Amino acid sequence: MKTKEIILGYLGIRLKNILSKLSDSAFEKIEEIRFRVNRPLIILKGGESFFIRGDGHFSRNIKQAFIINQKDLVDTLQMMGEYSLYAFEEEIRNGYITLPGGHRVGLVGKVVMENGNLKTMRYIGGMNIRISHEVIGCANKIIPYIINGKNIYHTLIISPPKCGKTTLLRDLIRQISNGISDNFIGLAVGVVDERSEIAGCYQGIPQNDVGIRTDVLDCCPKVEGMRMLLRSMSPDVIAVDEIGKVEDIYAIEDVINGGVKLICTVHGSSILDIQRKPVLKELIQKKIFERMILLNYKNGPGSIEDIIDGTTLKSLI
Amino acid sequence: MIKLIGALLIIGGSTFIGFLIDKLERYRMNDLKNLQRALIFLKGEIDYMITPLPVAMEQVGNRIGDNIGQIFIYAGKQMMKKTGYTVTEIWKESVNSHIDNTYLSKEDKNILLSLGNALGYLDKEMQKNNIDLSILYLKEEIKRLDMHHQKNGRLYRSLGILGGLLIVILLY
Repeated sequence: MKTKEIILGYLGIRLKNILSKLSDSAFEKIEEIRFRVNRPLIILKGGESFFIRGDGHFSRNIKQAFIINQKDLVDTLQMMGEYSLYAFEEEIRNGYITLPGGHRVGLVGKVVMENGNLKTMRYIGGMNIRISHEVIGCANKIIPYIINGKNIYHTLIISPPKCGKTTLLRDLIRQISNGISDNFIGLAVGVVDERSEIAGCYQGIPQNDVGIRTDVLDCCPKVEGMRMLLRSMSPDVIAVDEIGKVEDIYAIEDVINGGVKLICTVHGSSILDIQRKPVLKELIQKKIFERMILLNYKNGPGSIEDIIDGTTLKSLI
Repeated sequence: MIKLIGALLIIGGSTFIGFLIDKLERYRMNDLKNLQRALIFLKGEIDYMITPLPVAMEQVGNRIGDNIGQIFIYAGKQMMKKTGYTVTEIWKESVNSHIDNTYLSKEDKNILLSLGNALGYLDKEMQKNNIDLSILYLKEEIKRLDMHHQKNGRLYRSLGILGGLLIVILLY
């Protein structure tokens, strides 16, 4: 299904009507759609933000901007919760819902507490739909640096937000899992998809192409997930998104001691930046990662800044 | 001879009317009981199974069957189409277009409609309370109807026959 069809299916009637006026190709280029009550609808596309006019055209003039009202968000939330918000209590507590296809919807509003714990969110005031882009082949340039004979190197992808690290990780997984040539016929990949962003699972089935030898643990916390995969699915490679917590290190060590290769991503803009973070510093000092890939936004999402050998810390390109 | 046939027709007709009134009440009772069962199922689906509403609606409808089940099946199907309408709107449309196939009264209809106002967007506890409220109404109504029926069911039937006889005797 096209991205446009999926997203439109989860909007309230007024938002659906206005966004359905956008063409399919315009929709594919959108990175984020932001709804804020009593403020204009904003679309982020190619790193720039646009308003949308009543006739469905992009505009930079705020006077022509389409304004969101409270009911729009209430209706949209109902649709996103498939008319069953009671089934999404856990997701709302975490502040986001994942739509089929791996599009993540962030929520803000009035938080309700109970006994010191976050109970739920009432009166949703804003939403951010992050459109997940499946770019088949975006890892082509990186793959040769990662392959080591019949196996791969432990790899860390370092990227600032919105530079396409999850997209890159997904394509890496797909290529490693499918195999590339007769010399590299593909490895069993286990994915711990804590936020359903990599595989975009819907009812446990990956909606994005993550390769033929890939097993996905959907919505599972990373630490438990990595250990579960290690025990149960005997993977050759384990892939996770956004590491950085102290517990993550122990799970990573378990994976590496188990003889399994690891691919992870992390937020950051340079090696120095990463070395400032206590948890990641340790990983780099121990020279756990053999390859580090740095991304930036110079030529749009997914631009490669550098590929670094983790043992010598020297650039490979 | 013609007089005799006429007399028989009058008695037959009035007996039929008496039985019909009795039957209509019994049909309504049957519908109310089905509705009550449906809501109890729905509550279970939401409370224990945490089934999403569209699926729950369809399952409940299929299990109940009959004309009452149709209301739930239609609403579930409409929700799955992701048209952008709210639960309240979809439920209202479904109730309005299917209620004529049932024997439910206007009051029953209003209760059904008010159920739709709170479906879907509240948390589990509130959903449960809301459905419980409707179930409570149905329970009371069934109880009331049952007592009424025990008292008046035979009355309607015998009144039909006796009324017919009375007219015949008066006219004869």
